[in-house]
Amino acid sequence: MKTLVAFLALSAAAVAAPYDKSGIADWTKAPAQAAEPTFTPPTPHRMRLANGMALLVIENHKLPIVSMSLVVPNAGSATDPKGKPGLASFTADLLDEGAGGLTAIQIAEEEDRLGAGIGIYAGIDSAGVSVGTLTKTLDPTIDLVAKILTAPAFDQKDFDRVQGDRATALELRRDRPREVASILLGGALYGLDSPYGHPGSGFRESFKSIALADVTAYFKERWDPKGMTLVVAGDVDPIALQKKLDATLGAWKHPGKHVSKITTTPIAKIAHRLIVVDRPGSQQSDVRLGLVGLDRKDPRFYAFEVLTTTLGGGFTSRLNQKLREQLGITYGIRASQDWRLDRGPFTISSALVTAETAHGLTETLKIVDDLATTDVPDAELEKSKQNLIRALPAQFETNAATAAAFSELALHGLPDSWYAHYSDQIRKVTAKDVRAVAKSAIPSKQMVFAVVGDMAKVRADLDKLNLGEAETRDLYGMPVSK
Amino acid sequence: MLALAAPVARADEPKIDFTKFELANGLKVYVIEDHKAPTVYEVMWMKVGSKDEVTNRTGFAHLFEHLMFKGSAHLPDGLMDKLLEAAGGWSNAFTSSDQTVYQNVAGSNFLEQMLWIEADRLAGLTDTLDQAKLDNQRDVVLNERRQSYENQPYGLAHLLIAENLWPKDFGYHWDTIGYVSDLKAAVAPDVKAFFAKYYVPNNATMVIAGDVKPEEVKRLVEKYFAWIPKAPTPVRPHYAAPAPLTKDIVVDSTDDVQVPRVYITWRGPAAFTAEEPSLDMAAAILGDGKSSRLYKRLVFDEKIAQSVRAGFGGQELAGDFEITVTAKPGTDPKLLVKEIDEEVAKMAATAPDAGEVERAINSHESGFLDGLEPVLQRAILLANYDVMAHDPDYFSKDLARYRAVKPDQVKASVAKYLKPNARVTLTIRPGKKPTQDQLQGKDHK
Repeated sequence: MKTLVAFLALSAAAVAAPYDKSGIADWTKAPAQAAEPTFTPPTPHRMRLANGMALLVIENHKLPIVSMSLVVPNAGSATDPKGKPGLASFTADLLDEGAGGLTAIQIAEEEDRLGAGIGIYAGIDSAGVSVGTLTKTLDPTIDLVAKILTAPAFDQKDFDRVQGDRATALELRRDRPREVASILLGGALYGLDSPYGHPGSGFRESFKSIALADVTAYFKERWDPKGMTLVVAGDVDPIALQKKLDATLGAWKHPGKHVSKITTTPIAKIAHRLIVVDRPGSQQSDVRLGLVGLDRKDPRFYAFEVLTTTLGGGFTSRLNQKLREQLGITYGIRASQDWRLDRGPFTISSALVTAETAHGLTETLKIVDDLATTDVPDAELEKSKQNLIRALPAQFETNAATAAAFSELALHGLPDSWYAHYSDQIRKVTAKDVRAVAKSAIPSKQMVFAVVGDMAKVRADLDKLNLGEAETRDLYGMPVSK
Repeated sequence: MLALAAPVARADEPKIDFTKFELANGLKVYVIEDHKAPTVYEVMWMKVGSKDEVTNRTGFAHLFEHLMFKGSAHLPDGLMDKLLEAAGGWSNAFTSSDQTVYQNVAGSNFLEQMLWIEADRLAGLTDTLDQAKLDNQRDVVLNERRQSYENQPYGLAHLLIAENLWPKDFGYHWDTIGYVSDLKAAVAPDVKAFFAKYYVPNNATMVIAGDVKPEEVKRLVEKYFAWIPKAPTPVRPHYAAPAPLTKDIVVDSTDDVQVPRVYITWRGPAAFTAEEPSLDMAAAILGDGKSSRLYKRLVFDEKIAQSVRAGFGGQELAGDFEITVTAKPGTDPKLLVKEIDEEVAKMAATAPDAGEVERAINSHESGFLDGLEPVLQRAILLANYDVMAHDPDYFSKDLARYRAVKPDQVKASVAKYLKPNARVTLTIRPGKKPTQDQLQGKDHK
């Protein structure tokens, strides 16, 4: 192995590259871009199953694979009943733990045999099933999915076992400071017992409140095929697919209990709040700053996308440039709006080196305030807008991404043609629009701060920021008095 | 070396077409045409990784990787990413023990800009390197280390495993992230020397993929790269095959966690050698997902574990086979080790059923096909085949060698490699996070 000394000797011999021999007159000038290519987002073929379920198909025959995404509105954690946080997610967890005469293990074995992956999850506004499989095993994969959906066993023994696994996962939450930081923010913005303010997996303290009967009832009420949309992308024949789905899922009906709109109650008037968790010895502080943002149908959507891109959307965003590339106090910092049916949280998240925690928050606030008071310069505005416009094709690169893109439209009741107008809408956004939405939607004075870190080292500096009296939570993010 | 299984042509086999050319300076270039989206992807695979680092400079290959985004002879710091993001793309890279792989993405009308950016940093990265850039990225890397290792539950396990699995003079003994004191010791002349030695056109494989025409790629690559001088072929540190392990190396550690976790790791063969597919299938049968043997026994039936995982990772010089089991609260980790041992011994003695192997193969096939869907992943895979398998046209052969795995081969590979007296058994129990001094491999002070 070479030693350091030999390396230094070598470095003396390193010479600059002979750019003058390249034949390129001016290396400082970026080559011009070629003509802008056109991109037309795919348009799904819209159909309907006998039971009312909407079916959207996007054909792509490049590879012998298929992705499916089932959107189940009204079955996400926002519909967890009071006192039973985690019920939507428990229901999703239990669905494939036994169905149609197959045990949980047999279902998993059948998936592997078919080369299929079936994932069942509960999000916040909706639940869903995402499936990836091979063209040659599509039909038996649909049979298996249909079995899971129409004949779940919901057996007490499986319930007890899954409850045990979920309980352990909740017990281990304190080992995951990032998750705890997000819970702190959600709780502060909406209230820990509210639709948007509780973690989807529930709490350690509350998992015992959920019984098997709750799961069974929730499934019957909320997983109503009439309101669902199934998006299928990949190597399929739409007509044959519809026939197969009708034969397996077409007769599936649930009484259903539609909730027309999710209503959340953001905590009325938010001034600065500081919520902290002490993790002695932490080398970094996990921080979340945020407030109740906009809902998905807000007319300021496009301006807000440009704003979040400029602020914290990519590597060259203002936050990342300042805190990572100039100050070197983090590995990365991002800003994002969680677009939901009602007003979801706007969050800035990072892990800051312990000694610079308060400094990082101060710099972040300066950057947020600047966007509300000064127009974004033309070149930077154009960078953000073009980044969004030219990245649009990536949303349809894979079958799974394509299915997810149209699932989102279905959940929010947006037209299938929505992506076709996206670029034009982004192009219209002006610097004034961005400044206006920064001022109206993310006023820094209303932000809540959640910090999980070594309080002995960061608390004194945090107190100097005048963010209000620090409110302490335990390692699980829960009020300490309990 | 045993011959690889002969490929069997099948109708559902993916055919990945590409073209190839090589510049006089040794830069190898592949082009994959795919016009589904108006996007271009560039992969620059540099044959240098953390196993090429010298004494007291662990983590340097990765630190260097960070500096590749801090500007070059004619591009001020930050400009490359501004241009790529304005073009709807991004840039990134990863460093492993064997290689450093750069990825740039942009709208396809920015192909020429992308190549100009890459050529400028390949030719003149260090022309504008200064102490401030190095210090800044050293801080960023230290933060990456805190975020991805120190502040993660069980986050330091793989540093401990590598130190114990491989001898101290072997290139896989230290993790890519490096030791803090070594990162702090790096100086600007290290960067210049590393760049001059390894970042030369004849040490790279480049793949341009997406909405491009091969002739146009060739014209532009020649324009921007052909003038860069060929350099001596980098002489990488040579590692002799390490002496075999002759015992169960038992390592105990603690972390700020709630339940114990057990890691059992064996040495295995290098990537693209004959036994790799059977070891991958053994890992799937033992510990991948709910249908696996360890899940069934430890999580489902006995409820003494919260999760299980098994995987084989083949690298250039050797591989490792790792089983990870996280305990349920109250489970003695010794019991987990005992039961893992029983399951491994069972597979070493009796071949798995045909059904188990079929499931593992089908899952693998499905994952493989999914992996071909994103153009960038396809491009990285092609570069990997070129550098590691010495055969860029390896897509269908890769699938075929997994389809050909037989139950007896799984048994034979398990018996050969997963021996109870040649491995590292690491147990991490709830307690204090190890201090910086304990983490620092004693051989790297």
